Amino acid sequence: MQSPDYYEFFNQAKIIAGNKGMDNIPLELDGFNAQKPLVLMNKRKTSSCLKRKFINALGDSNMTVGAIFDDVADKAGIGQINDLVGLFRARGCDSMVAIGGGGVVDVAKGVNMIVSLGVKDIFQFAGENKIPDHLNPLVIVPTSYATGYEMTNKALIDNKRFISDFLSPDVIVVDNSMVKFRNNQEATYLSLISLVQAVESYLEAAHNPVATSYAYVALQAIKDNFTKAIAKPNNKKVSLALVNGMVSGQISFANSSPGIVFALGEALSFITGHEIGLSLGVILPYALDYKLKNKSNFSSEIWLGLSDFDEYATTPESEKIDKAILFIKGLLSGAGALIPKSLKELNISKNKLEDIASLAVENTNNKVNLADCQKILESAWQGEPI
Amino acid sequence: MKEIIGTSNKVLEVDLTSGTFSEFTISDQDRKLYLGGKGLGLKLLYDRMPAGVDPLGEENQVAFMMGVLLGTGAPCAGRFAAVTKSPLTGIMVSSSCGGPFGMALKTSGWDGLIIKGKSDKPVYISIDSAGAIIKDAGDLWGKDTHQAQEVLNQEGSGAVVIGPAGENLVSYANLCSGHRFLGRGGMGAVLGSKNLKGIVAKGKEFKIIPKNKAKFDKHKKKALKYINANPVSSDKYRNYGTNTHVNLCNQGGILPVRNFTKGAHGEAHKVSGETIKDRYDTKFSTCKPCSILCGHKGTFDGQERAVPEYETVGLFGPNLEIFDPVKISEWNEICSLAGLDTISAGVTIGWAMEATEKGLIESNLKFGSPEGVSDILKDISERKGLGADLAMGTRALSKKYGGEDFAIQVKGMEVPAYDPRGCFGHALGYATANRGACHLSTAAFSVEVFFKMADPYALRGKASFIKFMENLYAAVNSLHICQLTAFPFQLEPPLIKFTPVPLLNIFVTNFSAIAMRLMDVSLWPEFWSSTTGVKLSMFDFLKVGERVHVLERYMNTREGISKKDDTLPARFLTEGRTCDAKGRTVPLEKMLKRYYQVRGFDQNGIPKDKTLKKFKIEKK
Amino acid sequence: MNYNKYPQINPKSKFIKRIYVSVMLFVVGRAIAAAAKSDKVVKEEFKNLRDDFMMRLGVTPNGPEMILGKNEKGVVKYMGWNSKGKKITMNMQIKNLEAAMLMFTFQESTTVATARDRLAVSGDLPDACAFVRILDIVETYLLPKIIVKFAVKRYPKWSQMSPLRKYVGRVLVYTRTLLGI
Repeated sequence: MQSPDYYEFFNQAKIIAGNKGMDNIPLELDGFNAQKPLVLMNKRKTSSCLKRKFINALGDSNMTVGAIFDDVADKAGIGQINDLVGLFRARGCDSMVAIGGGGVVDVAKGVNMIVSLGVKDIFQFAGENKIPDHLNPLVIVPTSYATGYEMTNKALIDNKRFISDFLSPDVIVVDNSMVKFRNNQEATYLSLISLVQAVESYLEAAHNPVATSYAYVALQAIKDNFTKAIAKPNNKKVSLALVNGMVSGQISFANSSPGIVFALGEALSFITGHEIGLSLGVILPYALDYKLKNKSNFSSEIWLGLSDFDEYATTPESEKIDKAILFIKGLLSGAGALIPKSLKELNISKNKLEDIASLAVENTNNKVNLADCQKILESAWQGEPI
Repeated sequence: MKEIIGTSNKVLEVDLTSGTFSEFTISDQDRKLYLGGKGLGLKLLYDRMPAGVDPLGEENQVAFMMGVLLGTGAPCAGRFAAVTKSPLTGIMVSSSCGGPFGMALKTSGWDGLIIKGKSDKPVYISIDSAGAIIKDAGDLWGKDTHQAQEVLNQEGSGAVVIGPAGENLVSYANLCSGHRFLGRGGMGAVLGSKNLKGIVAKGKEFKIIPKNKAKFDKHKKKALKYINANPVSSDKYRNYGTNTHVNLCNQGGILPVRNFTKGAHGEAHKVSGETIKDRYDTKFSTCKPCSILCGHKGTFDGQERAVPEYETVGLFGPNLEIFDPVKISEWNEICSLAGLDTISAGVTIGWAMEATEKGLIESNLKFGSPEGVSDILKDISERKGLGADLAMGTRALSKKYGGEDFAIQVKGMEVPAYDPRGCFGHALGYATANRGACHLSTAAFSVEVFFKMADPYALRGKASFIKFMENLYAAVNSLHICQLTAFPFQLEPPLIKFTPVPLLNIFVTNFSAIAMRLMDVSLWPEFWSSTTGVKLSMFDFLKVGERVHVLERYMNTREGISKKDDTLPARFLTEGRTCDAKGRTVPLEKMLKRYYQVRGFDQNGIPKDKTLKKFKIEKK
Repeated sequence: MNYNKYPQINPKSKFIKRIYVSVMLFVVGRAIAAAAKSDKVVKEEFKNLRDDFMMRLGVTPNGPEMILGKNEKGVVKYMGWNSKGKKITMNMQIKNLEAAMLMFTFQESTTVATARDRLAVSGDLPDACAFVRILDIVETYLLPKIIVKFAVKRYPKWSQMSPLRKYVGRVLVYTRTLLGI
């Protein structure tokens, strides 16, 4: 293991994963002196039965649910956040539970900021490390839909980034009954987000041994289950493994420097409206080829995440990174038509590439290089590796 | 005067880059498959323009298509269509206008005009039967739409121009002909990007005679009988204009109020068509020829101005919580002179008011206050200050500042003045309309709310119903004839006229596929047939409409449109309203899935190969 | 926003599951007390526990519970289902009713449930370990092998529990459990 000279790692969440996981929520919240959460969901992004399953899980506990608001918009906006603050206060809630991903978690984090800190203007906290104090307890119950920021210390509200350790969830509950994929597209996109977030932890600048250990979990989950999920997305075991992997992947992502692939995927998704998982899946192979030009960009431990011990041990050091990247490409091509081979196939017009590259740089505060972004996008558009 | 029997089939093509023009003839095949107007315009651009062109770049082309009925004297046929790629949405847009340019170009012997390329300096085009001359427009540049037309009309009988908004490439700048507009999608900016101030046609060189005059006259008589018998066309629109919709929408809970947060308002009657007629001495001011006579002008504050249409009244009135027709007419005038689409402008200002309230932007715009609205409209057309941002439209604005959940747009085009949470069929229509949020794509609000001929909240049958209406209006816009003829032509035939409304409601709601097949829409294709001499049955007519719709959809999918774009603003999907006790939001997903099935699209909303083959659309 | 569209939710009681768990706790309590008289090993385990040993096994927060402990004479007795007024020296909380159901429907053994953090124990750890060993033996008496295999850590071998001891013990435990002697 390469020991860096200096690193930091933070994860405050207790992770409960498995059968009847949600039934622990009342006790966990009780540990924070909270008994009345406001629960948020997006009924358009999750199966209709999840609300009922959640309510059943709380049976016979002493926890009252202030309200279950299942009309959260796909993207977090201050209007809905303010409305929910009103509901939170009217019902005398003391904590938040977010079921699902994407806008649901961002809205939950937004509401939490306002009610915990007693402020009116949330945007004073936009940016890095501007939140001054702990927030009310936040429990996240991931489902089959995610966009990449849920378990991290980040939130996206009205297209503004909020980054603070206080935004990290307190409890993450991965329950068997809540994670079943509705179709193989959902499975693919979630896995791709997890894959990219994990892979980027192994990039040299981002390298941090604790973060890569979380990334290892994510990669192992994907290695064993990605292909199965595409063939049979209804499989509960496979769903559970991949969502667990996603949780780990996001925690590793939260503790790594911003990576170029995720930045480009996010920018592409923002400008074109495509799902972020799809955007990442198209860009990833070209970005890997680009990064491979300088192998020292990667840590060879990435191959450990994508193989088993025997295979890793018997692979020469010089071949580990190549094998890892080949394996990843194999996974992506196994998804067939679910992941287009180029941006051209998505009918994305070439004149948008410049905007996407600039946005990726802007979103990461210039931590990714514009020229690199442009070259990767150009190659991804053409469908030809660099 | 020379005569054209049927239609000339001649299209003039002007290249602004080289400064030359040429002409070509429309093939019989294209004429039969696409009829004219919007349909033919789309087909011509499909053949000429590759996918991926920049809407404000040299490669974008604009097709002005006159339609076969223009000039024949068919009632309400004084309209022409234009088709191009929109800078607001990035996909195809078509629009319809009742201004004098159409008649002028048609009676100059041309069935259509295609503009391509880009001039390196401001120019205008002068057209007669011999062809086109490109002339310097340095003196015209900067003039408003009325001033520009005053000058151009010295050379002909009808012109179409851009205003300062088009010159400054405002994303929703429109084209003006007479006092009518090609409103949506920013066509004005497309011409502005080509440095083309306007086009004037000499006109009155040819008389257009239908091929089968006797048959044509017979249908014309029938059409006029229907128009004069139908209470909507002969009374409501004729007396009160489209603002007759204000009270109907208010009662039906689909009036846009406060940036679409509510569906009704106690003061809405102050801006209704009935009130405006009573208070502002209204007179006719219509397209020519027109038998419905929906357009009016009035005296507002001592000044004669156009009575704003319902969309303008709805979106500058209740949508901004303003109930002063004088103010609304003033803003309508500003938009008319600047060449700004009032729908997009009204919705964008509504967004700006809400964004100000929420602290996302800083401005002096406030709901309920007219202060600052005139100034901001001027700033938008000049792209100055905050106006420069508002000129981008709500989609780009909300991406920049946040507030996507209350950016009331679909595919980048702002939503017209009908709240779809009160009429789910119309909601589906908004989501699937090819040019973006478009009320004219289906006009389903009229069936569901005004006439109560379908349950507005039932999901059953909505996909078939919307598909039929889209096909019908795509065909109607390819004739080309005013869409308001839909009321007399569809409601006067005996089957509809004499069936009790509750029975119609049950039938349309529960058996919509069958109900749509029983609709008598024969009058429209009869006009086309008697003009061209080519047989066109009612079913072929509807098939043309379907073909046009599918072609437009396919062209858009080549630009990246797919299921992710067939959606509605978050407000319509997640927020209930107080005017509806059940607080309903639009359950779009269920309707959309079925819609794709009936349309022959795959689950991602892309037309399947066999669908394209069925309509003889060559895949490019 | 119309708040009435999103009402407050008071979770319902899982009546049937409560009854089931209550019955199981009752049977387990009485069976342990019976085994303390009938089985040598269990007797020995209890002998090593403190004289005022009183344990509570229950479901958080208001679920069914079982109190078991030594009386003044040092005899192990089932003390009922209410811990009021009793000095509890070891408290084993099952975190929720579903966890209790998993244990008492033998989908998870006590050891697995402990490893999965479904139980929270306060009190002496050696006492808790002793209790788990006792529970394993009692379950072996109460249930057939095919079920007990899932409930205990390791099913006792022939050398650890001869068939004679098992079947005689079973009869005695069942009799004492049913009659409360």
